[in-house]
This record gives sequence, C-alpha cells and structure tokens, in this order.
Amino acid sequence: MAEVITKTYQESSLVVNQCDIFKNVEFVEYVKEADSTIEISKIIFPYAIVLTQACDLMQDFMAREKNKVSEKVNQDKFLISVIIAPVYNFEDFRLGEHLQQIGLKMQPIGSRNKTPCKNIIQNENKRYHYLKFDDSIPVPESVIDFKHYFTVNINYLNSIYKEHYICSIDSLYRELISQRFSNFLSRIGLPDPIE
Amino acid sequence: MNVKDENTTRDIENKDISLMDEKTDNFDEPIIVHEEENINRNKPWRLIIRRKIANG
Repeated sequence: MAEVITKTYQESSLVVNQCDIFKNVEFVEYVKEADSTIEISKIIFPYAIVLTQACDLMQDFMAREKNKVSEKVNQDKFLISVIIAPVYNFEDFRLGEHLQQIGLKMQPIGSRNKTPCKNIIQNENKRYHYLKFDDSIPVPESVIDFKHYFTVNINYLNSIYKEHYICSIDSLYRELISQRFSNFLSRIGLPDPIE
Repeated sequence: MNVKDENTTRDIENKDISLMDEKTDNFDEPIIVHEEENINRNKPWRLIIRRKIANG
C-alpha cells in the first residue's frame, strides 16, 4: 500500500498560513490563583498544524500591518486566536501511546495490515488525517487528530514563528486537510441505537 | 501519572519560561517549574509552573 507523500514548501514571508506546521506549540490548560500562588499548566505538543482559514490569517496580517502605520484604521479583521490541531507521531498513535505523558490512554489502532490502520493511512477515517513527508522535512510519519483541535493566541503564534516554524503544505494537500477538518466539524451526530 | 505529585517531579528555579517573560516585577519569588522526570519531548508533555505572588 503506497502512502501519499504530502508536498511542502518553505515560506519566507513570516506570515502564518493555513496548514503551516510548527514544533513545540504550547496549549495553556488552565491558570489558577490560590494561597498567593499562581499556577499555570501547559501541554507542549511537539508538532501541530494551523487550521484557521488562509484568508482570515492573511486579513489579520494585513490589518495588523495597516495598524502599525495609521491610527485611523480599525481592528475589525484582527483574529483573537488561531485554530491548531496536534500532529501525532504515527507509531505512537498506532499503539495508543501518544498521550501517555499527559495521563491519557488512547485506543490502539492495531497492525498496519489491518483494516482500521489502513483506513487511517488512506484518509478514510473522518477523525484523522494521515501525513507522510519526504525526507527533507524533520517530521516523522504522523496523523492529525481533528477531535483534539485547540486554539492559541495569534500574537503567541507570531512570536514563535521564527524558531518553531517547520514547513507549509502545498495548496492541493492543504485544501484537502481544510475540507476534511470542516467535514469533521460539521458531521451530524445521531443518537446511539437503543440496545 | 500525576504531574502534581511532588515525589515524581523536580523543581527548576529561574528557568526561562516564555509565558513569564513579561511583567515579572509582579512576582517576588523564583518560578517553580514541575515536570516529569525523563520526559520524551517527541510526545506531548505537561509543564506546570507555580510562582508566589507578591503580597499587597
């Protein structure tokens, strides 16, 4: 079974785009204050992908540039946050061990030659998007889990861009991910059948 | 796995934490960071930061 190699490119503009892949993205679980102590809990995802629409990201960038040179413009197109999804190592994911360090035991997918795993590799499971890159990209065989999407502040993402950006995904592959994510979010959940 | 369990975590003082880069004058004690021993940074991992807030 031949896996599709996802085509990528290196963006030099420093503008966040849909389906850009970043390393070491922080998700703040909570911030609480008690007994004169502030506590912040974060999950650090080794790899994550941007899922916010490309047009929204570009409009945000353009609006921020305009705001730098003029006080008369508004901030109508500013984003508050960016949608991100974790990109998990496929082998850890297949074994159900990818979230063990945050105390979560996940469903193992099973052997590569079994149907559930084959379906994921062929992108026939709505929840997941399989990714395999050529050897020039320092990201292992991976899977996006659309169910685990979260958001990060746009300023935070811009601040880590130079050091944490890995690559951008080419247009057709990007549009497929975007379409599959929107299909996953808009799916209709029916009640479980009564046993 | 309980990352808050003092027996399974270690303390690192004054570690450079991006979230704490600003307005540190609101704090009067070092940052205490709790993280698991032997973290595999190729898998998602949890980091807990605690810091005393200045009185008054």
